[in-house]
Amino acid sequence: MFNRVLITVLVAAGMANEAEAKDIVRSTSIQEQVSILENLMNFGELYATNSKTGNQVKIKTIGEIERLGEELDCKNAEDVKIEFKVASAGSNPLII
Amino acid sequence: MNFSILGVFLGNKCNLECDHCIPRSSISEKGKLSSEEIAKIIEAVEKYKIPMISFTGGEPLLFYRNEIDKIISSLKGELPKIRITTNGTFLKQSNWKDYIPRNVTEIRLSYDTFHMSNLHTSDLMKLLEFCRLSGLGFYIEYILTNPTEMKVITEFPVELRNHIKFDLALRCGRAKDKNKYYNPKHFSIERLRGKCPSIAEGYLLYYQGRGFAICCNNLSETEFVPKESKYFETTSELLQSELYQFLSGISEFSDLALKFDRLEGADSMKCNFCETLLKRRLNNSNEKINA
Repeated sequence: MFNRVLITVLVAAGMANEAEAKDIVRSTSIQEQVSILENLMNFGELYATNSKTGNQVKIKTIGEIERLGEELDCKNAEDVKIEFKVASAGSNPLII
Repeated sequence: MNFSILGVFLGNKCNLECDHCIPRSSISEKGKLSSEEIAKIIEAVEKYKIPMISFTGGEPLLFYRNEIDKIISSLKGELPKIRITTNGTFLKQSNWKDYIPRNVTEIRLSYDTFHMSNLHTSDLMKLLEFCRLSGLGFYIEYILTNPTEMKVITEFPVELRNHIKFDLALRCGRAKDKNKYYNPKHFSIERLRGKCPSIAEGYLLYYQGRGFAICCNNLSETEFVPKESKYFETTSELLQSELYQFLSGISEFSDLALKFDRLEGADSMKCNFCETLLKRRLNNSNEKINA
């Protein structure tokens, strides 16, 4: 689940495409992955949804990720849909 | 018209020559804002009640303090938020706090592997602490040439990590000259859903010696759109220009992209994509974007 979240966030934040995001997961330690995800979570909002019932929770900390299935009452991890909404105003990394 | 930010390019003089620098700043540059230019900037902020001015360069704090002070002190009424982007080398001075102009509300520090040789994390911590105590916003913009470089984050003290904003080097300016931009293997279809961030977010730019503009990245440096079509004496001329009207009319880049066949990996990058599409549009139709 953690890897899925990290890949989703990397792609949504525009930092990598899916293949590159998978490369990042393969080539980094758990500690590095946690630091990257913690950093990116500052620039948007992370949501998890039970795709069958529509129940949604906002993920505020990395510790919540492994408990998502339980929290959303999903028997299969695949039923958890992850979304990262990048904050728009002021977050756009243009040079101004 | 609601502009959210006025980005002021004070000039291109800088004590460093970063590989990814879009305006290709260097120590030999000389231009500074004239009194007439400063008056135009103040008029624009007051006319459109722009809530934020973002000063950049060049290196604003080492070479353009007088111009920043003149602009801020001439503004009437409630001051807008003031952001300054700096390479941070002023922190090496014993009186470094004196380099930060009054009424600044946010400091953005450009930092990456190149800057690391000039500035250590202890300097960053010093600035972070100052900003925290003074109630100023603070973040570090860290440019990557490849997303996997993000793992550098673990080399920063924990207190700094949440202040780092990563971005990828665009195929533009000195990064293009030195072939040090991020070049994905394949074009990302996600890019088609985007649109020009300058237009979407309501940015207005002023370039020292050139005038008002709408684009802070590729179009400012590219030659296929002539200068007279992208820099304007007044904001009214800018808003009426064909380039502004054209960019405003694009709801998604897919509107343009569908007409073209081959797009490369580097075209997936936000401003590169716009540049590629505009260039092809001009080549295909022989249209000229004129003021």
